[in-house]
Amino acid sequence: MTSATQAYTYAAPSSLVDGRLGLATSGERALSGPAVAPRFFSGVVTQAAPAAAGLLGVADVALARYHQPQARPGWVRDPVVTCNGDRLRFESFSACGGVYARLDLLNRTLDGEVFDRGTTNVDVNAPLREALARVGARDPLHLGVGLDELVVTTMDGAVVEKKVPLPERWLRGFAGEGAVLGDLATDEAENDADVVGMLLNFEPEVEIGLLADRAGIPADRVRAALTQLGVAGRVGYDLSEAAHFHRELPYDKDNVILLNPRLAKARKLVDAGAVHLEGELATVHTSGGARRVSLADGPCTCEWWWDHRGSRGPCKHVLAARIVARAAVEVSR
Amino acid sequence: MTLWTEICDLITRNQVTRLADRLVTLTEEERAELGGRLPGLVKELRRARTEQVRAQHPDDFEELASWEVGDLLDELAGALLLTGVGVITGPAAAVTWMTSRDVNRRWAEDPDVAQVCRVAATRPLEWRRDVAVRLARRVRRPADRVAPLAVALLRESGAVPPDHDPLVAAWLAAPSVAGDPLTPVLLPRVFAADGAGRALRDERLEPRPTRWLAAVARELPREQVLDGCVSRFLRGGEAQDLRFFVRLHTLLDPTPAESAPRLRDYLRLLPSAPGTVAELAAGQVRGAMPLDHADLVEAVDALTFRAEAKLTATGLRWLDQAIRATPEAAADFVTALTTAYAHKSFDVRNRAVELTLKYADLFADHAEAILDGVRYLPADLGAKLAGRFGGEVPVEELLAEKEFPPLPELPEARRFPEPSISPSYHERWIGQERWLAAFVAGIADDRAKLRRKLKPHVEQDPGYWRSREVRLDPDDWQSALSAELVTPGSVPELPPIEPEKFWDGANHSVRVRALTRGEEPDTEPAPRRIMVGGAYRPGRYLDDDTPLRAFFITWTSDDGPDGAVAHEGDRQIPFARGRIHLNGSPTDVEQPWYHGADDEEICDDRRPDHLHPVRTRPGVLYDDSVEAMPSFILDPAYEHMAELGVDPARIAAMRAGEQVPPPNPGEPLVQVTVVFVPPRLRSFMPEELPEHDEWRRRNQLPHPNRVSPPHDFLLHRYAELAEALRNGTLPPVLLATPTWMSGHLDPDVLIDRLETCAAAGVEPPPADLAQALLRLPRGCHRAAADRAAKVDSEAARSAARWLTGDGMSDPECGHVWRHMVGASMVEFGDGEPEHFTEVRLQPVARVTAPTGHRLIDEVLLRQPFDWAADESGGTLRAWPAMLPSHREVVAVNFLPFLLRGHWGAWVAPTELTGLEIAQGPMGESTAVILAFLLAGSVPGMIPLALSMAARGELPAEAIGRQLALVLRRTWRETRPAIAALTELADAGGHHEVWRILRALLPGMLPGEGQRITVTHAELVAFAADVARWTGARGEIPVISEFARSRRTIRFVHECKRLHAQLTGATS
Repeated sequence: MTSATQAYTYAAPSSLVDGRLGLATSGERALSGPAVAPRFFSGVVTQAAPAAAGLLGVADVALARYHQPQARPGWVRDPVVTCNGDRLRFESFSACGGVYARLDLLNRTLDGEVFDRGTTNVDVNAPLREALARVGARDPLHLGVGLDELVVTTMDGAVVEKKVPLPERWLRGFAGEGAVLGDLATDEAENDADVVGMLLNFEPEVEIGLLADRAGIPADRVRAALTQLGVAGRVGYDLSEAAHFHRELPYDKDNVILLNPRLAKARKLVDAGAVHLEGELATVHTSGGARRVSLADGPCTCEWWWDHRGSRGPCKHVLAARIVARAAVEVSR
Repeated sequence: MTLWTEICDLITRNQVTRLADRLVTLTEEERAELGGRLPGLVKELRRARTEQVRAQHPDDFEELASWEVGDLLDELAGALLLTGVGVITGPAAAVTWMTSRDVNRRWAEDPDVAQVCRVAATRPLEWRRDVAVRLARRVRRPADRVAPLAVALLRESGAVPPDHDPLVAAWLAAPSVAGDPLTPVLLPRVFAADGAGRALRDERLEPRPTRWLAAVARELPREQVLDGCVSRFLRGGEAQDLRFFVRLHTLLDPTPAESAPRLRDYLRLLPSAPGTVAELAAGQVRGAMPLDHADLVEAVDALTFRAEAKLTATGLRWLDQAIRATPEAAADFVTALTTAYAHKSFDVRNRAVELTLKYADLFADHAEAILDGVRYLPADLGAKLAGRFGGEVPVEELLAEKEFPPLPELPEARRFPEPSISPSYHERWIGQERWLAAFVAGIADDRAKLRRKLKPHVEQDPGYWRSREVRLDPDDWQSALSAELVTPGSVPELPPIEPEKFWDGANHSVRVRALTRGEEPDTEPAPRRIMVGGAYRPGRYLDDDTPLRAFFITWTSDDGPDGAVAHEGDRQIPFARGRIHLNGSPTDVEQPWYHGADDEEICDDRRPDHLHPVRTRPGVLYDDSVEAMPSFILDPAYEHMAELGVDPARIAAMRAGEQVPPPNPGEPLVQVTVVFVPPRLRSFMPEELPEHDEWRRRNQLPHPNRVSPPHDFLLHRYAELAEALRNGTLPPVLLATPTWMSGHLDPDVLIDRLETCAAAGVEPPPADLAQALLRLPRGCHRAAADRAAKVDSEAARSAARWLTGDGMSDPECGHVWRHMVGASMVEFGDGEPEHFTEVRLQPVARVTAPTGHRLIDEVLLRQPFDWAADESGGTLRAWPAMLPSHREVVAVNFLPFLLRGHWGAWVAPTELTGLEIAQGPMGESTAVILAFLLAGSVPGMIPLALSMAARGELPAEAIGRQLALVLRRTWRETRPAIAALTELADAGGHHEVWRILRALLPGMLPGEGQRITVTHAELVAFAADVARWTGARGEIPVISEFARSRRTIRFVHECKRLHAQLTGATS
């Protein structure tokens, strides 16, 4: 398994002292540009106990490895927080990549000042967990995402460094369903993603129509581009609002395509010239014999398709055929 | 020898103690020199071992070499570690060495801590401390190989242990020592260190606190321990990680005064800490009563939020007390009450509603919030609240009006496809029936054409079936029929039973006895009996059977086996090169011509000459070419000789066949006598079999024990066609080929075929006729009978009789539930013993009125065994179509395949689909199969049950009865069964589900003295729902009984609800 190591540094540990919760941040992309320790928000959380419990829950998921409940990972991975302007989104993935957790602190629970928009890791340490668990319903809670200079300078200068492995399965979590592979297969989507990515503004809800207008491309291509951005960790999907939202996870999007083995295999088939188009049908030659593929609705004669019937998205043969078919269209255009 | 080579030698010979002895005597200069060269040693060891492997296996040495090198390093890991500790100068380098993958080997033995400490003790104190701390930082888990060593070095060097969580867990897991210097530093860290709780999870309070519980309570100040426990609880974690701290807290049993400052913390633990922690916290909060009002509200809110009914009940009790004490503050508890409405426990919900009604006056201003919570309550409880607080009384009607989809429409009966010898996408049995029909018709039509068509198949056929003594698979029979057609005579019938010649194997026995030297040995008394091996089989030896001859081969320990002499009676027999010589000169050098002495044996069911034809030479009846004194017979003799005191060196010479030295003075004289019975050519006449069994044998049908009756019957059809093909008596058409997919045969089609046969002057073979008759639809077919009467053949007359009557009368079918007691199967009767094992269904099938067709009465309808022969597995799907008018018989035959194992029955819905479209009564045996598969939520069962329901044929009551037995006697469980029945009801089978439940309930409800469980309550609750959906009426006595109970448990409540529905009373 390919695995990168993600290293990040906090200027100081997060702390909760006298009802003031200071979440230390680690350098990430903010709207105002790259920052070492971005400062997003400072204010009061009106529902202290649920917010504290929710934050603990998100942090717990980041620590859990559900298929091996006995074995806690030896390292600590932190949640990420995104400030979208009107809300704070805390997100985490379990170490096994099986569970995703998100806590949204919405506008009406926050009363304070937004300094910047962006995404960053926040430090959650054992003393902080203890302090968060102590937060009761009647306790006031002041939340600062990003420590203000004063706090940092008065601390004893203890720098917190964390290194976590970044396994590919964790990244695949962002890719979500194999069903989106069709969107990833297009070169077009890659270019579109660059354009759409530049237009994103840490919106809590991405409006596809608006983006389509601004980018000057049709809505379905925007969707494909958003999928591409989602795989790169730059866009999340909110099930309850049924909309994408913008955030920038600290991962290199170039790796992502490679991490998607089905797509990588499809590209390999294309490069090997295994695909022969015949109108709406295609034949893909593999070591296991020739596969017949229908381009339009995607059935294939391979065993994988027979097993899953499209429930896990297109198989590599269909992907390969579609890539070639698009290339053919581009050539004939 | 230089110092370096000396150390290397000690390492490679793995002499750890001597190595340690040497290492402790080294001077600093010597250490420095050795330390520099040590890493090179591992390289050298790798290289040498790899070269060694390469020399032995030049072709493919790489993988092997890596294994060998790994083994070598595993073996030497201890010595390498020791040397590193003894000689490496820098502490960092030493730790790198100790934890390197060449030394810290996963599969090596654990390091010898005492030995390493002894060597380390000769190093400077600073070095030891540095190494101890560095090594401790490398510990990742308590089970790490270096962990005990790190702990020991820390203790020994007095170093300050690093702040490293895994070290704490490793220290806890390591053996304790008296006056451990680490205790003051590491013990306080158990509260904060990750993994410490996990390492201590098995610590117990009973009968007395175990090691660490006692140590923490003894060594640390109470205040610190209590603080530590509460902090640990707040940090969260799984119950098992916190168990130690819960027990520790229990051990300390803080006084209210001690708990008071931590009251807030205990309150915070109530809503979401693991159950044991929350219980403990609730205890502390209760101890601090009376609480500040706001704290009490928080506590009650938290407890009613818990999933554990016990904790929620505590919360409701506090709520009750609080409102009684301060009625004016009742409104603060509305949230807690409405939270409890949604609890999964019936008792909690009930109690919450009771309390709401009790203090209804105080909640008058909060009716809205209460009514909002009503939707979480079951209808009856909700109605009570709605009645009091003036909301709508909804819900009940909603449930009653539940809509159900209609039962599926029945597909039209499908016609059986046309005969064809080509394989198709149809199920296997269909393909096989089509093939048979096409084969028989093809021969009658154009034999040469069919032969041409089948020839390529025969040529490509690998022919494995030829080597099988019996043919169990219809495909094998197809191959045999094809081969016989393409090359007539290539698949002959087996010859009749005839006298057999075979070689009976050699026998040996050996005797060893001590003799008095100088005296003539007593004449050996001839043994009266010689044990000769062999197995019994029925039959008799013929007059020309060769008599047994025994040869006595004698030698003594003075001469060795070379001096052996052979006798038969008084006659000396030539003996040389380990052989007796009966048939030629001892100087003949001949290859043994007798083969297979070892693998030939006489067995019941195998002809000894079947695979290896007997090789004989004229006049030779005894085979003298085998060794008369094989080593397996002499080895024990030599051992015995050694026990008697013969010189081991001389025995070794005898074993090796070398010149035996003369005996030492005083050495005993031992005589060895080998009785040798040579192989002989025997003559045997196996017992004749009864006529039908002999026919089975010659036609390669299996013994009836090996196959289920329907499978056996099916094979008879193939066998009789093979016989007819050999004899040229094939009919022009097969009678039994179905006309419908159910397997049914149109009576008129049968008469047409009978006419064709009669016209050709061929009498159809009996199995074909029997199968054809069995496939006729039920009932009397007068017109067809009249037609049949006009056809002049025995078969047509038989068919006419069958068609005039009502076909075959239904056999007696059923089953008996049995379980194993000792080594025999015992019937269950009505109930079950407390413990039982190996449950089986004994099928029952009896002919009620013989049909006169032997194959039906004796083969097909014989009673199946209660165990299943594996070989029948493949043909199960064909069976329903063999008895399409008597499907319960098929179900009875399926029974042995049902309780096969937890990973799935061998009977699947596919097979049952065959029963569904067939005819005939469905009884308990079909029902038990349906019940078992339904209870297991086997995919495909729900559509099948719906389809049967749509035909009005689902044996619901029988399913209910059998389901109760299935749930009581097999590994199927009630809850999944309820889930399956729910699914069936939701899909439109609710009326059938009610019929099932009605029959199921009396068998499933707790009897006298039985505990009432949640599952019982869930079952009755489900039944009550279904009864309401279906508007069921009619009392069920056992439910009425429970409904009269005054207990307030959910089970009784549900019984009352069901009873009210059934009797039309209002609850």
